[in-house]
Amino acid sequence: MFRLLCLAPVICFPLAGHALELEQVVVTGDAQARTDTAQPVLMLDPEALEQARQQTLGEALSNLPGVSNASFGPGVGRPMIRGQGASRVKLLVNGQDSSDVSAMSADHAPMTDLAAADNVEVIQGPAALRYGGGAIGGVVKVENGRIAQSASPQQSLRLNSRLSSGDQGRDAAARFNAGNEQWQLQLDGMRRRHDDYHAGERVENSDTDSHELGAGLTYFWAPGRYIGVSLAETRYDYGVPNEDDEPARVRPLQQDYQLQAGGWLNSNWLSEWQWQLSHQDYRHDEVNGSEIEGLFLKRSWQSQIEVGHQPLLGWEGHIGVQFSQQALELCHDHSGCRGIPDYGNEPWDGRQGDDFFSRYGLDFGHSTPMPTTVKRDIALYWVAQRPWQHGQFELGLRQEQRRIDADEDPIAPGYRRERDYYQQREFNPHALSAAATWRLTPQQRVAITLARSQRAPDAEEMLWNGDHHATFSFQLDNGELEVETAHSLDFNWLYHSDRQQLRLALYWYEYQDYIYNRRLSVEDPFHGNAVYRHVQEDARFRGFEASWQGQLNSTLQLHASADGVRAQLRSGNNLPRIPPATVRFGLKWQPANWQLSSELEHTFAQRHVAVAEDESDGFTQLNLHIGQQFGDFNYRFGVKNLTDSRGELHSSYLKEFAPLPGRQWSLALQLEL
Amino acid sequence: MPTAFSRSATWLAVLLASAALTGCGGSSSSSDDDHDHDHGHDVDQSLTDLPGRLVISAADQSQALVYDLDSNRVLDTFQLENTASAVYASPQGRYALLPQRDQGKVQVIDGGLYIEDHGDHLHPYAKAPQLLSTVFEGTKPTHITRHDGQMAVFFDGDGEGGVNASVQLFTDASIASGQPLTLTLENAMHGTAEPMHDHLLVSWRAPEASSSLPQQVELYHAHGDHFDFETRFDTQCPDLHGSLATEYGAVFGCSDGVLLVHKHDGEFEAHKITNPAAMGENRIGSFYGDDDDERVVGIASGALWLVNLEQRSISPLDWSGAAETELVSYHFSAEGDHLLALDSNGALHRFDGDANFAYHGSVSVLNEVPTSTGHARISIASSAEQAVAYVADTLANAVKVVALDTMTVSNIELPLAPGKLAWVGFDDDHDHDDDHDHDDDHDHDHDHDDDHSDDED
Repeated sequence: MFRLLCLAPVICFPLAGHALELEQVVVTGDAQARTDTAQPVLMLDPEALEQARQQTLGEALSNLPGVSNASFGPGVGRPMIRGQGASRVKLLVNGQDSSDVSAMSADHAPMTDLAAADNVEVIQGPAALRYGGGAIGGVVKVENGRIAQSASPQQSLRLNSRLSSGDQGRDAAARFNAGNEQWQLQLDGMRRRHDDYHAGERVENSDTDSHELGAGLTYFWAPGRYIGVSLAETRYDYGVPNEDDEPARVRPLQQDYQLQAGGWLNSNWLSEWQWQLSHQDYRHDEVNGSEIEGLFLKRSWQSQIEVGHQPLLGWEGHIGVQFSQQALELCHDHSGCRGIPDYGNEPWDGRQGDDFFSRYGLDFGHSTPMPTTVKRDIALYWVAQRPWQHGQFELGLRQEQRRIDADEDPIAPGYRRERDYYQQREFNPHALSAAATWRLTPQQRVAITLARSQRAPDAEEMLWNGDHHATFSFQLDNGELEVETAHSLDFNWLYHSDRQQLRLALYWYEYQDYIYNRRLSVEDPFHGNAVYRHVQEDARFRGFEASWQGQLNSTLQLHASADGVRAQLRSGNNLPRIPPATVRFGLKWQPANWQLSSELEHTFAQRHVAVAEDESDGFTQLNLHIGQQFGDFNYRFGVKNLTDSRGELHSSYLKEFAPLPGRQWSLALQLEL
Repeated sequence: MPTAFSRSATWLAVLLASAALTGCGGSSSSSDDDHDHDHGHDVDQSLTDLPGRLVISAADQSQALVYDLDSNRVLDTFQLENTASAVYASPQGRYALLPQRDQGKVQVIDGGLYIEDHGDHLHPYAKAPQLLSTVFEGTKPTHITRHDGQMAVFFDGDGEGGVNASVQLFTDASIASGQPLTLTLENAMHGTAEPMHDHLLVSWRAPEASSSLPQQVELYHAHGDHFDFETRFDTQCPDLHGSLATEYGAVFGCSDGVLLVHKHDGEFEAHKITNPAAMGENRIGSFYGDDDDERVVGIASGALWLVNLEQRSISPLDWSGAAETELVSYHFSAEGDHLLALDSNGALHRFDGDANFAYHGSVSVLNEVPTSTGHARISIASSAEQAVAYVADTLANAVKVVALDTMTVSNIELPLAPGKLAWVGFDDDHDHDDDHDHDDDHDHDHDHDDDHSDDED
């Protein structure tokens, strides 16, 4: 069936994550035969997805090779792919950017909930061709089915509930689908509440409370041709564990409106079309006690049109046009935010204000940290492939334009840069890619991808000058940032037989002018916190992923995987918060209606630390689960971290204050009618 | 064609090789070899350890400049209404007051360095200096004293002109607002006032007295926008001149001794400490000391006397100064509890307050000392941040910088002949968890240069 929302890169190589069962190696289809594409795509299998519904996105994907969790306590988990995260890993919900502020700061949760998800995919490596510079490190795609991919006359109701110890977790979710050959309706919702969790001792201020309601309606006027709308509201409320046990909380709220349409075309030139339009209203409050000290408002519009073209000189592919506009405004005020500040009426001579605390060429502001910004991205891309006798060749081109307009009105005149600083900035990044797949034997394939990808800096990387209380840091602005460029080489080898699957991926990325947040050798003059500024320097990422799955007999499966990445600047210094190497071993036994599984995961110590970064020790965790299926009902009882070992995620800003949970028992129930 | 499983075997080798490629570390200590991060990186450097600024008035022009001790440059030069007769730092060190005694004006320069309490943090500012438009006026602003985060400017008034003396009490906030608390006295006098928390000790002169110097001390209580008279102490202090307030009480120089006013069981009391016979006909006319030390130094005709407020005693402070030299200028350095005394040969002598004001050593600072004429003393200032003193070298268009720990001298060249100077700035040693009281260090700086023309030392 044609996947209406498929935005997979033309250079993709559908490959199972360890959680994917062997019979599902061939990922549910795209318009193209993705099994022959070059770039690795991992996905959660249904069982892994069921376990992940109550987790953050980063936590849910962290079992996949090469994927780690940039955690900020239980409330926040943004995935990192091959050591890259934030503005380099794009999060898509039904093909649209999640349009939150999770890339801006590690304490901001991504608005990508998995409670209603049908499918989660991870594209590893640069995927800028189809998704822009924000995907230079990879893409995570969440699809929740609110706009149906196919018409079905069946009705279904799924109810999930889960209880957990350690944090007194109480989760519930429901999803209802109904329709006929023309109409499809989905209603879904969830509620999750977790108290402070335990990691040896109670982790103060780590509770979470989450809600989501969603609905979608799709109309099929002809087979394979549809138009659908969806609405969703997601609300989180989570504590941010911190050194001082302050009652710091973040409360994001997002309304998401999407419209999608598409279908096949019987044309000599075009084969299919697809159009998406969406709008997201995002707000989050940063609360300390009863005072709202931070307020972020983001309004986004996104639209894209993509058409598939018939073979042209042997090349068959897609051409797309994308547009997005994101307006971001914020308040930061210890005495309380009652809206976005407006100093537009105060006199200003256009020169830099003298309220900055300036020394050693560093200017520390203490007003609203950022001007209001409007970021507009326009992109045109073409991706195509043509077969050759042993596989296929793939090509891709993309040209993008980013414009960032800034309005200084929310900043007190004494803390403004000179007027020119707020004038429009324009960047024109591009992406080029060439790849080839080679079927060595019926069981083996090799894929090589060469790519040049560029990413324009984000507004917050350039223009933020102020506190980041949650990370106990001070961020300085750098209006001189330019486009960064990655030259990447990916090698993938896949062996797939009836009884086992092997995969090895090697990659080497050379960045020019890599934008990273450098810690400076000073402390901020206001709080004595660490000071960071985004700067550019050449960098190198090297790494590997390897996985094996074996079906020993009809009821017993084994799997193992390993990954590692090394990220260094040209100066030789390491980049911060790079996840350490991990190895995993798993066993699954499914006699009759029983299912027993265990997984042992060892995370190595991270000794390759950045300047002023602490090393992290290695740790091992053992998880066990047992479950049973009774018709439409199943239960699953398990324990995570059976040995109650202490583990700190090196990729987390809060690794010392919010270690991984200790031993945690859980009972999950599901009824599917 | 190799079999699938032979390729699997090679896969394992590639896996191991790739592990080596990425250098993925285990937990063994051998990974220390790859510790290529910057161990020597200093992340404890404080940006707020600013060395401060000097406000320097021109000796013979109506100008003042602000010199930044961090960037080592003149930040700005301001045109004053008249030549400044003195320069004093404000209680919190943000402002410099520039009295113009003969013209009855006090101008103010905002040094630009100050700290505000923002609730969750202390917020330092390092802004461009500016000359405030506010000018405080009164007849003959002469003695200026500081204590408890307040500064008292005593306007002598003019007996012949029928202008009574007055006191203007400032904090940094009231300097900024231009609204000091003012007390107008009953007649003119060459007096002094000492702030004591919410009280003010003020000299009192009998209307019929022939001398311009007062004879007693009165106590006032500050209430909102005015002072309420509380008492006049009976203890006499003939020819009162010079004063100093510490947490042990306030002392006033009298011709027959030292008047001590202190709080006992919640009530102010006055006691006279009589001059020792060894003082002869001399008397103490100025004091120097630390706020939390019961011993202060009194100057009597160039001789140093140790006044113990607890023991209520006066004893000579012996030191082996050259007989042919004369001490001509004094300063108390807050940072190091040092009394500094400049002699007529240009040597600066250091006495250590924490060693019972024992003589520590000397260093030659000025090649040539201008002839002292009355109040035109050589100006000395010191940093509240570092153990550094600054001496105006009028004849060399320079300021001498004396590192008090090592007693070594360096030079700041200026575009004008310096007259008076004061150090302004903040002390970043304040703990961010403290009670946000920025006054402490400044209160120690009881610089009582007698820059008035009626110097009676």
